[in-house]
Amino acid sequence: MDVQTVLETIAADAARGEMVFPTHAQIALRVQRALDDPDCSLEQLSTLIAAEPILSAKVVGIANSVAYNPSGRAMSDVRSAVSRLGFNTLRSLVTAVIIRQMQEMSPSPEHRALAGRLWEHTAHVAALARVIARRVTKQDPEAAFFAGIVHEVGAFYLIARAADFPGLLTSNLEQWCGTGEAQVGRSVLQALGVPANILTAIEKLWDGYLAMPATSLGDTLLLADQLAPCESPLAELDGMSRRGMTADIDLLVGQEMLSAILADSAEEVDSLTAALKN
Amino acid sequence: MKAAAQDIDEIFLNPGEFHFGHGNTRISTLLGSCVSITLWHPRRRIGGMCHYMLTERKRPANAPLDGRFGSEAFELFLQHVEAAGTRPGEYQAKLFGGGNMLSGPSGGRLEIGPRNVAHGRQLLASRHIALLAEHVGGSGRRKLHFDVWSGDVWLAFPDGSDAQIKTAHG
Repeated sequence: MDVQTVLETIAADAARGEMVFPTHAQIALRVQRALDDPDCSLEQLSTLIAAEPILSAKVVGIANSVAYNPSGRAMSDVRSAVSRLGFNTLRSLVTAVIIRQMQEMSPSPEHRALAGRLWEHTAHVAALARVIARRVTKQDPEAAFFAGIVHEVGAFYLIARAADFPGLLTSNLEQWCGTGEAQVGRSVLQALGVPANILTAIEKLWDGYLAMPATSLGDTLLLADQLAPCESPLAELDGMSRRGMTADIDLLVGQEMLSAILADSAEEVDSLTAALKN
Repeated sequence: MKAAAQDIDEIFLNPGEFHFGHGNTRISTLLGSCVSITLWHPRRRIGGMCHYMLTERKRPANAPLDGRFGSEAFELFLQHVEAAGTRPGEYQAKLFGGGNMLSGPSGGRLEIGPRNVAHGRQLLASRHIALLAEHVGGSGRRKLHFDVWSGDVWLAFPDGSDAQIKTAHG
C-alpha cells in the first residue's frame, strides 16, 4: 500500500469514529462528556476527575502554574483547582490527557518516543499560543491554548496507528505535509468534537499563511508553531525540518515588540509548558 | 490566506525585480537567502516590494540601478517615493527572507542571508522608516504576498532547506 492510500485509510477510520482509546483515556472521555452537560456540578466533575490520577495531577499542576496562579498561592486539591481553572481550561486539559494517552496505543517503543517528542512540541505551542493570544492577537487565550493542544492530534493518531502499516514512519512522508496532515487531522478533530472556531484556526495552520500583522486565532497558532523551540518530529520524516534553525520573527504590537513581549512572558510560558509536559 | 479579488493586478517578482504600485495590486515572491522589503504608505495606500540577492556592488558609472543589490533596490524605492510626492519616513516597512540556504565548500553555512538582512535593516534605519515586522533567518523558503490595498503581508514558511512549497495558493 502506498503512503497516500495508508493516509486515506487512517483518515477514513477516524472519520467513521473507529478510534479506540486506552482505558485511562476512557475516564477522560467521560469527563469531557460531563463538561458538555449543562447540569454537571463542580462536585460531580471534581469527583470524576479525582478518579483519574493523571488528569488529577495535571489539573492541580496547571492550576498552580504561574500562568493561572500569578500570586503563587499553591493548592493541592482537585476541587479548588477545578474552580480556579474554569470549565474551558478543564476541557483543554482533558483533551490533553486523551491525546497524551494515544501514545499508549502504539506497541512500538520507537513510535512512543516519537509521540513523546510530538507532545513536547505540542506543550510549547499551546503555552506560547495562550500568551500570544492575550498579548499579541487579542484572541481568547483559552481558545488558543486549546487549539495548541489539539493542533497535532492528527499526527498523534498517525503514530498510534503506524504499527498497523509497517514501514510507514520510515518511508518518506512527503504526502503528510501536502494533504495527509489535513486529511487525518480533520477526521480526528471532528471525532473529538472540537468546536468550529478551533477547526478554522487549525485549517489556517495547515494552509500555512501567516498574516502580518497577525490577528486571527489561526495566526496565533502559526506564530506559536514557528516560534516553538522544538518542532514536530514528523517534520523530519517528511523532509520539512527546519533543522534547529528557527526563524527570527518580530512584530510591532501597539507600542511593544513581540520579542519583548515573549521575553516578558518567558516564565509564564515555561511554567505552563512544564506543567503540560509532566 | 484571503482570496484576492477578481480585478486585482497580480505581480510576481523574480530575484532582482522591483515593483511599486497602488490600488488593487498584489505583489508576490519566493525567497531563499534573498531579502524582500515591503514599503507601504498607510494614508495613500501605495507601496512596493523589492527582492534583492546581495547587499551591494561597485556600480559602474552610468549603469542603471540593479534591483539584485540591496542598496540599488533601495534607491529604486526612494525614486518612486519621491515621484509619488511622499517622504520615506511616512512609509511602514516589513522585512523578510535571509534564510540559510547554501552550504560552503567545507559544509559550513555561507552568511549571505544574515548579511542581506542586516543590510536591509541599515537601509531602513538610514531613512528613519519604521520597521513593523520581520520574519527572517531560519532554514527554508518563504512565499510572500503583499496586498498594496491593505498593507497586509501573507507569509508561508513551511519547510526546510530541501523542500518545495506545496501550498496551492499562487
